[in-house]
Amino acid sequence: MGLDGRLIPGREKLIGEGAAETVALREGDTAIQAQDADTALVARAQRGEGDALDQLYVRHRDQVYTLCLNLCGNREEAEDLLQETFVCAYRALAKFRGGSRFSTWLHRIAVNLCHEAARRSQRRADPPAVAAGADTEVIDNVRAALMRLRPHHRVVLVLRYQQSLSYQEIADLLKWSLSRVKVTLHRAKRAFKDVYLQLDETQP
Amino acid sequence: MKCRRVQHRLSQYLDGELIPAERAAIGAHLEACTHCRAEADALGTAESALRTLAVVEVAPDLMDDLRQRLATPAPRRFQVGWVGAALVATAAVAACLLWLSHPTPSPQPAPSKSDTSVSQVTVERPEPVAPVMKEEPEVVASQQPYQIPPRITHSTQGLSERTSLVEAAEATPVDEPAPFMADRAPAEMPRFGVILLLGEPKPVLPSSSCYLEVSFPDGAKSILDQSVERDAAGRPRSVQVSYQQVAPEAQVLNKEVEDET
Repeated sequence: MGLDGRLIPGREKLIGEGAAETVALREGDTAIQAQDADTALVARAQRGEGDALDQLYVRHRDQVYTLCLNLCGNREEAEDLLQETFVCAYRALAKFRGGSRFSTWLHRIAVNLCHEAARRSQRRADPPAVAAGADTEVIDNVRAALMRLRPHHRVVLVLRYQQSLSYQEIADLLKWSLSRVKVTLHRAKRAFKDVYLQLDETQP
Repeated sequence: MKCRRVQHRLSQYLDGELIPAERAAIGAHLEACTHCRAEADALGTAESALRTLAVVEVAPDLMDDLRQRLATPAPRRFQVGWVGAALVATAAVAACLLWLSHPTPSPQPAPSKSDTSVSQVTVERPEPVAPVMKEEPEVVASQQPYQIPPRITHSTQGLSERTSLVEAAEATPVDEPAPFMADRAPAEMPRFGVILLLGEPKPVLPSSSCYLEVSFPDGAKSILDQSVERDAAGRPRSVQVSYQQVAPEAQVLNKEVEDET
């Protein structure tokens, strides 16, 4: 699913326990519908309705978690980053004025937190952790190749091909120019191709 | 279209981000150029692999953890910021300027004792009082952390019963150089120190205070603080005067005693 709710076929999430209303974006939801639903939930959350916070979490948790997982390469760290993202978002929700989509704002927080975590890992000289073994061989190779890339290359690739964002959405999220997104994506794709094909050839 | 130009646009071509005319031109080039087609195929393989990254579902119990984290108060993060950094820089500059404005005295030849125009104790008293004190008080000037300078004794002739110990020191003849200033080489002059005045603990001034005013050649004046140490009966036992950067050319102009009672 992109920020406009294009993917996740057949997946639905329920509000809280026993609620009948579906909150997760369905395949047929349009970007406007998703944005309107988020806007309404954010307004309710800003008025202090805790249920709205829960619904926002349920709507976006999987996307944010997947983004964090693909950026940091570690499931436990991704879970921690997911929670940290929502904690930061909830505490700053009063300052959210709707200048961008809530999902864009939320993903930007997640990307920034992942960058901070990556910098901390670099200072500790931690080897890049890859969540291997739980997925197919292709996905493991893709994640391993991603972790060998430069951080900003990794970000644009994940936002483009896993989050299915358009060039303009990536530019809005990262606060880059559109031309910078195009150039970075081009270089990132070539770098990924070299690393991934090399990994693929070395597989037994 | 040249290969270099085509390869620069392959990424956008595969993403469908080109206008139809460009897309058609690149498509035609790829049909004719095996090198560019191989590059496009490799990039397409990489893209296909990237698109296999599906959405991963989160464990439901993480919501409880999130609620728990939200219930805990946000940690207060100390952020210096630009304002704090500016304040620190300003304080550092001010400290440097203060240090430079009070340099350690450079070695100079010691002033001769004949040079009494400076380092004299001048007593200005509004009303002369009659001498009553029988015993001569001793005024000992000491400086810390330096050694106590030579002990000096002042005559107390002409002082009244209400004359304090400091007033006894005021009886120092005008032409007599102040020993704690004149007898010390400038290099030894402390920037901070204490003058300890000891003497006969009478007469009693229950709440007396005094100060020394020091005048410098450039016209600056400095008032020296003091504290009076008393015995159990409230009589002054010693007067401790602190001073700062008393240069050899400094001149003690005034000593006063006030009876605050």
